[in-house]
Amino acid sequence: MKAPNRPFAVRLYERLARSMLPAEFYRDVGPQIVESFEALYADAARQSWFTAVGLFLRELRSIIGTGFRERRRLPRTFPGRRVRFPIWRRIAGDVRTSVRGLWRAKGLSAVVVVMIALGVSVTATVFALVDQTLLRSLPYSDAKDLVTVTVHDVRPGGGVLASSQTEIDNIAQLPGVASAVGYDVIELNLADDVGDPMRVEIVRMGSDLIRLLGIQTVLGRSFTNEEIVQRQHLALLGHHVWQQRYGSDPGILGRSVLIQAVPYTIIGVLPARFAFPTRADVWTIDGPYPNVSPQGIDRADRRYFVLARRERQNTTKVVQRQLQALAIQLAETYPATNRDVSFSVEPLHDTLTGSLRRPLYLLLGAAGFVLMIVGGNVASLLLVRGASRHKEWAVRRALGASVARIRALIVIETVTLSVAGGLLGLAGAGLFLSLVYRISPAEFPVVDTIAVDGPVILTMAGLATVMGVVIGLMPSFSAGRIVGSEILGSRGATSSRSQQRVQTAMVVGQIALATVLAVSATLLAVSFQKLTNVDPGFDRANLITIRLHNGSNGRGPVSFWRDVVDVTSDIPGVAAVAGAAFQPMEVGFGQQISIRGISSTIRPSADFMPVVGNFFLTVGVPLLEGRLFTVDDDAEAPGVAIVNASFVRRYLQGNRVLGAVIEKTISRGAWGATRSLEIVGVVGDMRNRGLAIEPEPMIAVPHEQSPFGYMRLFIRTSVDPGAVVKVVQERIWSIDPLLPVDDLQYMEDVVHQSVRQTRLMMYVAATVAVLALILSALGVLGVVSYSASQRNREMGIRMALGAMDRRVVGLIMRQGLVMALAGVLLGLMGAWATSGFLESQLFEVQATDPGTLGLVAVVLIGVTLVASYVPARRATRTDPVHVLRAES
Amino acid sequence: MTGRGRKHIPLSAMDMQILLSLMQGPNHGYAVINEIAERTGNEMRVGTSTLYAAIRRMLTDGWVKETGAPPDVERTDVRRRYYEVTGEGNRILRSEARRIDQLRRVLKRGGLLSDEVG
Repeated sequence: MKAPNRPFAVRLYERLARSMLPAEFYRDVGPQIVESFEALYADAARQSWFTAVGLFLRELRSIIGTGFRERRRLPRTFPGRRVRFPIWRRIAGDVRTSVRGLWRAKGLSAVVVVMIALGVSVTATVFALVDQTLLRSLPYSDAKDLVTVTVHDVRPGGGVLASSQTEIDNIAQLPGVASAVGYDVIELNLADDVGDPMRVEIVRMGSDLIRLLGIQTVLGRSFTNEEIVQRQHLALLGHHVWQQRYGSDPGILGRSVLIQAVPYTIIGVLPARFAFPTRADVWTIDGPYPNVSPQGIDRADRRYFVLARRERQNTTKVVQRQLQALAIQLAETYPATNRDVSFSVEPLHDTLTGSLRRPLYLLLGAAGFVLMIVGGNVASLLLVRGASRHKEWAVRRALGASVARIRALIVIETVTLSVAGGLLGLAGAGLFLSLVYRISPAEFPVVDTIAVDGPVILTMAGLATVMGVVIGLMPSFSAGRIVGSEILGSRGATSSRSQQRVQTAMVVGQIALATVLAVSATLLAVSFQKLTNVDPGFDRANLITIRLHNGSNGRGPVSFWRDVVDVTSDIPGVAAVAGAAFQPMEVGFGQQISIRGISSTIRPSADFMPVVGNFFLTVGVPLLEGRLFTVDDDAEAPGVAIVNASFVRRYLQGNRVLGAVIEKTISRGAWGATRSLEIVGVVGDMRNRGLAIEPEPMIAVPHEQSPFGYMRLFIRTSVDPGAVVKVVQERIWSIDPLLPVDDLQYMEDVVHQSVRQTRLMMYVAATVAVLALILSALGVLGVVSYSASQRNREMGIRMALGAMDRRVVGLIMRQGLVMALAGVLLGLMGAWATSGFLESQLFEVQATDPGTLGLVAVVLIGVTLVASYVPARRATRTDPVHVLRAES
Repeated sequence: MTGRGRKHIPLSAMDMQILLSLMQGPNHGYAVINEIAERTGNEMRVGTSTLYAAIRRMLTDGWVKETGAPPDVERTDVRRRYYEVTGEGNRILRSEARRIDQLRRVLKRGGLLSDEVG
């Protein structure tokens, strides 16, 4: 019987079958089993060894299973299919089945998909913002080694100073620092033979910032060491200038342009995405130092921000310690410039994104809330659907599906839904992002575009899947309790009490989350309202400002500005004209001062602001005391100053104000030696640090006594400012045709712009809160409708017994009211508990403001009641006869 | 007999397939396995020992019986055995088919099943 030429696999199979199958069983059918296997194996082996191995493994499993069952005399566990399909085929089959099922319930599926899409789009938007501004590293080589060094005046009220080139050289020589570069940003005039003169933003560098950042030019080259030492007049162009002004001309290299009437040669073009420290137009090596003392470069010439690269092996902390030691050493050696000066160091990434961190994480939290509400909503909808599907599941069970398999089917269904929703949501997020970015590009300094990209898609895909699984598990548990015999019985399955409890709990949770969001959004809206109502201290209506810089025709600033005021003030429609170094909303030059005869523990400092003409009258700042500047306050006259109310409050409290003498001490760059100024007037405060911040002390000086080239022209018009712009431009060009007059701003816009971060936060929060409100209202609607339909019979009987409509409505709405009260109460507690996170984003409103909390509570309860009124009303239309007949 | 048969209702898919294969006349294990695979488009591939376990059970229950080889087959292997469905097996298979058909109609009337299910 045993032929010697039988293959090894068959012999092995026979041995295995003999040893693993029960003896009695093997005696009965063993030879037949082996015979069949032999035939099957011969077939399989003819096809391929792969098929043969597959067969062998399958047969092995069959032996093991049969052996197990025969030994234990177990009947087949499930009447279903014994044979398993490969996992991917099972999943594909399940997905097909679930898509078919979902298609049959089109309406519900659409609602669920849209809800998930909303949740995902909000989350993806915020996540993209967080990921691309906070989490991702900066687009520079070894960006984590880049640090900013800040120079502080440690005296009280001292604030931040710029650094000098000599100081930066000292910093660069520290062992923990690889290199350090100083830079500043300024707007200057650029003229060439291409078009109108243009105002450009220029980064002036002490040495090669581009090399420090590890950036390659896309065209041409960066500076050589020799060029830097010799301070040659060379320029790198920003990509957008090269594209827009020069039409991406590859022959741009070697071309000469005039910057402030000084010729510069273009040697390279920077990459499109490069924007450090801002999205500037031109990068140059800073010109020769204006204040060179006999000992060399003046340490008092503080003009630079400092960017450094730390040595890889040193932490920021080590660098900080070395900087501290340096500060002490410099203070001893150069007391005139470095006493009371300290340094601090911080990773560049933190410097750039520090102010965004809190708002963005808050938004991420809010988005998480929305996602949770969505999850709760979808789960509760599916629970309702699940209840009506009990019969379907029972049929599946009867036909042999295991509980695990039905659960898997349900989970696959919800995953399918949430993946579909997720895809739609990602598309929505793309839309949202472009909207957010358009509203407020300036808020995101790190990248030039924020988009839905790989990491965002991956994260959201993961999130959608997890959400699908979690949501699916809930109804699947109730499915697990179903037995096949249920279909044979006549009683249709209804939802259980515990299922209703779960649903109610979820709706209460949704209302609570929506309450927290609504409270936050309302608080932000109130803040925004208060912020926009803050009096900026000047009259913004019909006021325009144009930035001008004299000097392209070599004229001094004093005569230039006299001419500007002359040519513009007699334009029809112009009511008043003046000039100032800064806008009323800008920070001026910080200046250390002392006040003669008054010694104080704090070292006074103030914003210095040279003004031309009747500046305060023009912008509408009231004179509180003394006089304004007159034409007699010229260069020959004694130095005079006008201070603001904050100055008086802080430094001259209880002292004589008019006639007090201010002395400038250490000055920034162009501000020259110590000089005394007599206070001749006091004016009202302008919000020079932004609307939300109390104004700082300010000292205005006549332009004739402190000439300054870089100024703003202010024009108050009696007509719509747009009408005079053209004439103003022409008049200024009549003085200097090479002067750019394109940077014109309406002060209305400037004030508007100053609140943009608050506005953005408010918009996003409001959108999120409204979304949350709608979603939880839908949740209430769903649950109340469902339970109303479950109580159909009860209501029918009640109405048959003569209950009024009103009573039925009340009965059903009571359920909604209870959920609303519980949810709102929980939500208010949540809002109170999380108030600390929001506090920093608010302005003149407490995070626990009772008015806001009350308002939100009323609105939420109201919305919930409306949502439960709809099904309640429907319940009264029940026909009692119909219901009772159906029951018998 | 009937009592013993009833506990196997509902019939498992595999039992049904085996009975179907043995209904058309005497057949042997290897052929049954191939027939089932063919009928289900390779979806159901019954293991040899699983098959014989089922056949053995059906033999005990009297649903199938062993027969000689059909006259047109030349006997090649002494181990090969042929089986066919008994009257009882036939009855069970048909009543199960009726049951499923009834069930389907009931469920369809109740709007619970569309054509895809079952």
